Amino acid sequence: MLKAILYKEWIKLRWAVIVIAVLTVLSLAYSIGMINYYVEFQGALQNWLYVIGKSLLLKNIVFVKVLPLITGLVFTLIQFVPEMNNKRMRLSYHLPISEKKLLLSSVGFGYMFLLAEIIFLFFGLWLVVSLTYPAEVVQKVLMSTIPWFLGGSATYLMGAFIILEPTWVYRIIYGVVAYALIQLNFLASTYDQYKNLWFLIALVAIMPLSVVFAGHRFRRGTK
Amino acid sequence: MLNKLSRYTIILLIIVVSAFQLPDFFSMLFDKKVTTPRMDYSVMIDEFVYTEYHGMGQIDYMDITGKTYAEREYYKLLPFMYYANLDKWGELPEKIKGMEVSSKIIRRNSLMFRIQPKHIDPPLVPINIMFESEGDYAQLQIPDDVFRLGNTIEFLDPASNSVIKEKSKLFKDAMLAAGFKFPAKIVAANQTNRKAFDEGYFIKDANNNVFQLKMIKGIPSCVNTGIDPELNIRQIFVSENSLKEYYGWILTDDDEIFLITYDNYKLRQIPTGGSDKKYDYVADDMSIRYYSYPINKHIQITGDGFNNMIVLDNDFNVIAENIKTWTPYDKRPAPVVKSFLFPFELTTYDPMTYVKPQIDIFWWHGLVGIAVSLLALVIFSRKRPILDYVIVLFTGVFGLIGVLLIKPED
Repeated sequence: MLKAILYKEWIKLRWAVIVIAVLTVLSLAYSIGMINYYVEFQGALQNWLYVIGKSLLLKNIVFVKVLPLITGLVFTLIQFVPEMNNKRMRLSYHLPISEKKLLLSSVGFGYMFLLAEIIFLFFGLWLVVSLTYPAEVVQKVLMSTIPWFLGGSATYLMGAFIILEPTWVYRIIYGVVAYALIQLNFLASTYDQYKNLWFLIALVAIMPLSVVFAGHRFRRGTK
Repeated sequence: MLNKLSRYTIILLIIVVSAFQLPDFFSMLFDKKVTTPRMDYSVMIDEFVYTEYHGMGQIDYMDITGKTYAEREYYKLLPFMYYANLDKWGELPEKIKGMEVSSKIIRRNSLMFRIQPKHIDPPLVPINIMFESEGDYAQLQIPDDVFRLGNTIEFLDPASNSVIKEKSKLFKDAMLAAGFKFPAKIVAANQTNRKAFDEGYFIKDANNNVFQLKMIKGIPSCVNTGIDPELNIRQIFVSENSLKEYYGWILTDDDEIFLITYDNYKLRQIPTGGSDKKYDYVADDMSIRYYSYPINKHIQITGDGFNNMIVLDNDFNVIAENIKTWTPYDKRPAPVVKSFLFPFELTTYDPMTYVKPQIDIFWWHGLVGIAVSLLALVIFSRKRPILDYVIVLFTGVFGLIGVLLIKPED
């Protein structure tokens, strides 16, 4: 049963997964070109000084900030909007599997792909940055990306929660809450600026549970 | 079970968001700016003077005896600060306390530094540049390489992103020969070429000894400064000044400040507190400003609600001291009301310029808001799980919003 459900999710996600993977590769390649351009025209040393002193690299790798957000949003829309059209989710709830298990495995499956994208992006960025910059810069840049990845994860999970919620009033309320939670991850203006990251990680870690509540309300037929 | 847990998850998320946003929103609406006096010490009348800005360009010029001055009179009391204006008006005295003065003399013999929490340990990439201290040019030349200094010293070539082996070995050997023990704990320098000359790096090594490292004609010079290793140095600030009196200053874990003098690196402590210990300098949440004029040296410690000013003569003896206070932030009307309304506040603000999610609890003040919230819940919405009341008991109005918005689903 579970296998069939995951297969269904895969059918929904596959094109998005391929497109995002291609976009990621293109972005990484583009950033190599961009960094080389800056090095060429500023000179290697001057470019290093800008990167170290003025956080220039945050500008050149802005796709690492944006891609997880887009991925999270696209995945959650593709996976859950069709289910809520004409209340198709009802059919799934008639399957011989508990609704919680159904929802959590769908969300888990989708998140797995988002996580794969994040890991791909992380190691890709590692490679790109270490081509041109010393280990200290690489370490700081990679640390800077962690809140962005949390932001992408929060977008996916809160997105699923909002879409699965049956009433529009609550969708709007949750939308406000989700926005406030997501923007917490995008406050840095320089490298590795976050402290107490565990707090943001814990917030994302409890988000999947909220999806269960939306499913429960849907099943009860809350209007 | 899982359904209940999921409800409380959402309530928790709502509590977190409202604890970040609502107190902040409240402050944005109701916080008022408080005018803080700007203190100075007049060498002309040997008295503290200050200005108070009341908005719309209306400024009061006063001394602490209560006497008021016109703007130009006030400027004349502070010739070392306003010498440029006085010079233009032809009112700069030729002699002050028997000392001949001119704009040039004042400019050359003045020195100022300031330490704010954000200077102490900011998020920086630990890559450094080493200037040539005795170069051939009028200005300091930015070198072609950078270096890292931690477990070892390594010069890096940005063009190829690789280690320059010979130069690294040259420096490492020089440092080891001077008795340096890796890894370096603090690496401090004034990394700008907008200065008259370069004094290189002050480095605290693994044994807490402080070394000065600089490059003279391409050759490393590493000197053990002999600064007491027991000093618990927290940060070193280097600042080249044409006066050549001090290399810079040291901040210790005990919030003491020492100037590093050109007299064989001997330290000279400056006072960081006066008679009232309440207004002593604490590096984590106050700023300190030290400025010396041809006559007298001044220390200003500014914290939340006070300015503590200490004046030293040219031999570093305390000659005057004054504390000016105003209402500290959490005693002002809006923040007091805020602390009654909300039991706590979540912020990301950190004076050291990090983004640091943290909780600020209002303790007994917050109980008022909690009591009102509980009462509201009891009166307007009965028959709830007991846990709802517990949540409101601990999180006040934030919890109330959460449990009222997200109704129990059974």
